[in-house]
Amino acid sequence: MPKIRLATVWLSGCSGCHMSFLDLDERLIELASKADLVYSPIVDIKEYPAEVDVVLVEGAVGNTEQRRLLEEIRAKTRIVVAFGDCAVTGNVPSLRNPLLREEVLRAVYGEGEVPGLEEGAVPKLLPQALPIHAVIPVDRFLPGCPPSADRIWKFLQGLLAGKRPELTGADLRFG
Amino acid sequence: MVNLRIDDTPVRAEPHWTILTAARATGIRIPTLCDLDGLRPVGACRLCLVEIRNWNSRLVPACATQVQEGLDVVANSDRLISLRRTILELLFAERNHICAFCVSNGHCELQDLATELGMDHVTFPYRFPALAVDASHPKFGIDHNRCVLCGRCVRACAEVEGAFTWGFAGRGVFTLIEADLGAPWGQSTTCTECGKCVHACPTGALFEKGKITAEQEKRHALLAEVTQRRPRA
Amino acid sequence: MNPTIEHQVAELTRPYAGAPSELIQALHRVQSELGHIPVEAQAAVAKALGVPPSQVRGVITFYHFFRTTPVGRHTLRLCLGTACHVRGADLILRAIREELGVGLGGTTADGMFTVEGVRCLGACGLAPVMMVNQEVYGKLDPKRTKRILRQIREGGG
Repeated sequence: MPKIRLATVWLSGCSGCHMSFLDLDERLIELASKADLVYSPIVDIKEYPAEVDVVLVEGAVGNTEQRRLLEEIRAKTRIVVAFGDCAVTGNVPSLRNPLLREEVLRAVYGEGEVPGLEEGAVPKLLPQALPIHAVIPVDRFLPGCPPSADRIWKFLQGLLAGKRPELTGADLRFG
Repeated sequence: MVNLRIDDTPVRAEPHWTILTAARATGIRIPTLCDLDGLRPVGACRLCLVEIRNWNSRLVPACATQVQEGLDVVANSDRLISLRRTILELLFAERNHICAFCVSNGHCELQDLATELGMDHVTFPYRFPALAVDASHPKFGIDHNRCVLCGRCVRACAEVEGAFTWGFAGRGVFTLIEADLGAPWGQSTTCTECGKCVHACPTGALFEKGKITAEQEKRHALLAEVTQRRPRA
Repeated sequence: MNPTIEHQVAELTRPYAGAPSELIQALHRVQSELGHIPVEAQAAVAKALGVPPSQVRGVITFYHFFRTTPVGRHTLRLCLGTACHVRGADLILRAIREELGVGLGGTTADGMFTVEGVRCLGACGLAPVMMVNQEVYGKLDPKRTKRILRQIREGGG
């Protein structure tokens, strides 16, 4: 059986979901025997490759660069997974959504040049940080803040067995 | 006694029981949110909708519908699960329910219902309203971002404590739970600081100050206990 | 509490004293006399009828008819019905806001205008339409709207 081409992506989130992913510990060895990690913040690959089987997307969509990347991911990936509460609901990054983008940026950067207000070296901040399914169709949702390593493993095992993993009960818990 | 069927199980019920009471007595689970033992049912949240086969499959709230002889009730079906999940998604989309950030994370009825009904995401666009937190009260706070307008606090305050401090102000999605004539809670002239509203609240909307999330577990049984202990005329 | 308002409300609500079910009637009476129902009057109505303040507020904020702030000398009613919506009522509202500095439900600082939204004025053929006091103004555009408001203000009302 050919190895699964697995990717992980980090958008507007705290990287806690990726930390939880690393908490798979020795299970990572089993994962590595069945999947190639073809793109991830923890590997040194700059371009999102073609023909990815599964991608775990951590974080909400908060700026134009992330929105572009998501669209590229959707075009090049078979199964897109919203990985953790920020990707599923917007979560903590969405706390800014009731506020005006400019007010938020001014509060952070003060007067003068404010990065993110317009397109530039820093990508433009979107008016709201949204769950990824607000931007692209999403195939699977893996909630949790962060999802525990056990929950991630249960989900991945389903995928590795060639099934469409279905989380139920306590494994669907937000927060 | 009244005879009815719930999910094809024959049930004998007292004539004054609601469908919800009858279902619970039979061990059949119907999800609820605005219902709380000790308070009058209002049928506000619609999560306990059940289908009455011999009423043309009409949907009624189990908490506020009295049993009748011969009722054929469907309490759990794919249709009902899908309806309840839609209602739940609308509740989540309406305000800013951010579990990871909430004092009730881990002991919240809204969060539990999402798990129970298999809600893995919200299909409706979130409204992200700009809502205030009123922390003017010395002991408690109210965060409108987490309020589902179930009215349990309003009923606890009126029916059990008799203070009538809380009320609904405004209408529709703009409704807010407010004290007295709308002044900050800390300035209320009717609040007795009893905390029953806090213990009645299913989410983190009403909370105790100075308590961390792990200590914020609410005593939902409190109101039933208080009303049962009360001497009757 | 303002003693005059309390006294006035006590007089006005005398027929409804101790009768919680007459709340809406009592509020109508107070509003028709005072023009609006300030918070002191709300408290006085609650006391006179024996209704919890929270329920008085619930009723006042539920029914659009009741107002808690004074109305301006001129009441502007902008139609937000279907025909006016299609014909650009939002542009008229923007013009009103630019000219008067207040939007729906607001009253200008000088007390000249109160702006309200209504569902239909029954003049769909003239959409978009607004009424100022008893006068109907139809086939509005933003420029004309501003001109009308300026004329009313300069006319001294």
